[in-house]
Amino acid sequence: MTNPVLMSAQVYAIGKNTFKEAVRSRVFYILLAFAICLLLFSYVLGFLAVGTIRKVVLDVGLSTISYFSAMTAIFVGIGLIYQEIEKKTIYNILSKPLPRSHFLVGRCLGLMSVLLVNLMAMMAVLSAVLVFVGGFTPRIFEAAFFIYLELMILTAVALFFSSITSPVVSALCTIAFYLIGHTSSALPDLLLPNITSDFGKRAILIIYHLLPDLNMLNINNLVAYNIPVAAGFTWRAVLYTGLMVSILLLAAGLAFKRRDLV
Amino acid sequence: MVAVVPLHQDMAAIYQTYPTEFRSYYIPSSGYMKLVSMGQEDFWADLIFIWSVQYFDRYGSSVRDEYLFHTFDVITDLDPRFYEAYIFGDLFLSLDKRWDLIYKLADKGLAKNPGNWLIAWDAGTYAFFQAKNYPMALKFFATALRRNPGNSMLKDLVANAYKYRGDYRVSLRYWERLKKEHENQDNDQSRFFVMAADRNIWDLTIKIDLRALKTSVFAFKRAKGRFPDSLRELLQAGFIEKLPRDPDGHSYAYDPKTGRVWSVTPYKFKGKYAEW
Repeated sequence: MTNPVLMSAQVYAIGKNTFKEAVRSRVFYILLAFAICLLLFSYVLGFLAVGTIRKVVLDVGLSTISYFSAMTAIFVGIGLIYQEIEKKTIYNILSKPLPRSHFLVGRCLGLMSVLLVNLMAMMAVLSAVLVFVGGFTPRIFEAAFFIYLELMILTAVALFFSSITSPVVSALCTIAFYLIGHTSSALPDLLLPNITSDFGKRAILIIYHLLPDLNMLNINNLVAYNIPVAAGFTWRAVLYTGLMVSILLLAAGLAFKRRDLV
Repeated sequence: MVAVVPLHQDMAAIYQTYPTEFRSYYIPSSGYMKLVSMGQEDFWADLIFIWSVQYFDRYGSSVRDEYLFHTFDVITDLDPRFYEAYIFGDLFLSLDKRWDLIYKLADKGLAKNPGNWLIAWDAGTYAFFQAKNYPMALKFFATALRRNPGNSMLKDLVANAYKYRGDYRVSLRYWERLKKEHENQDNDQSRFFVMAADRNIWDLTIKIDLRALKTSVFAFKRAKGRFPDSLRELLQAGFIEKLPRDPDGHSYAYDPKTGRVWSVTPYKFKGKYAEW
């Protein structure tokens, strides 16, 4: 039986190391720099929109944070496992009495911490711009929470693919997941009107519910118009994220356990 | 490099010969935009809106309004709550007097935003003041008032729309109610509404009376084959219940030769404001 204290210490150590490694990554800083530039540019865009400066800064700001955080999760996440294998440092780690699953969870938590810091930095810039235009609302942190839920899922997906294949294939698969996640909600609207049979309609709905729908975790529009999130939605979103992350980590753990690292 | 510059000049000269109507940017359909926006529909709605504000007059005149409407249709599909898109869309379409497209965009905005009254008010002002389509103006002002029942400005507009549409009695009721709401309040806005209500009640009372008298005079003529000798003959013959007096207490004037009825008391509204 694994000692939970020891397990926590191992996961923490891996996570801390992952955090330090990720914040030294060039990709991380390039994406963060681009995001900050775009956040500052949103102020200029707002002036071009005639009377809707607050809304434009909010929309552009939250979208920028969402897009760039997702890119960070994907491009840092795809190399999480593969780099260790490539550099052969994984042998040193796994030669210790450390289950492979703890290593995976540690890497995952480490990247999630990096993404949290990244998100906080971008939110600080967005808050400053919103204060400057007189449109600050604390609800942007509510939007940031839901963005973070999406990032957690993307991290788990990137980790899963990183544990089974090379970075190129891993990137393509993770990006495909991201695309499917943001377009699956259009499936019922596009296909259902053209299908007459009940069986066909049910099949489309089943496929839709099986596919990830990351658009559900986007509340930017609600924040922009100060509409409250429906009662009970937040805990459902957290549960959905928790289940997705658990399933993906489990699958990654099973795949990584069987993987021959030689 | 020697060949590139003259080639570029030639190509630019050829480009200038293309008809301006088609030198336009194409905004994809909203279905396509929703797919490619990756869930960030608000962001793309804002970008297209910013672009449209900067370039709305770039289109050739024969295609401008259809492209403009399509642009704002896409923006409001991506972000149905984007109130400014409806307002600016209406503004740009009004420059070419495309009232039909203004009403269409406003109807869409009202359907997607059940609580919003400003979109209805905005479309109503185009219908009333520019298109002079009073039934349409009334439709929009009445919608705005239903969504914002306490707003006196909207009551004023609805009363005016009824008046210009010819529903004098309904308009009179609105003015009387508006006056009652504001007559005991001591502020500039209330004083304005009371003054406007007084003038409208005055003129509407005269118009309602004249309409009733004219109807009775011509009913008499159809029945008897001649105009009545006086308005009193209308009363005696039972074509009218009672003879009205104008707001100043005078009797209405009548010409038995032509059947014309008019008021000796002047209207409060003069000039173009009296054209209703």
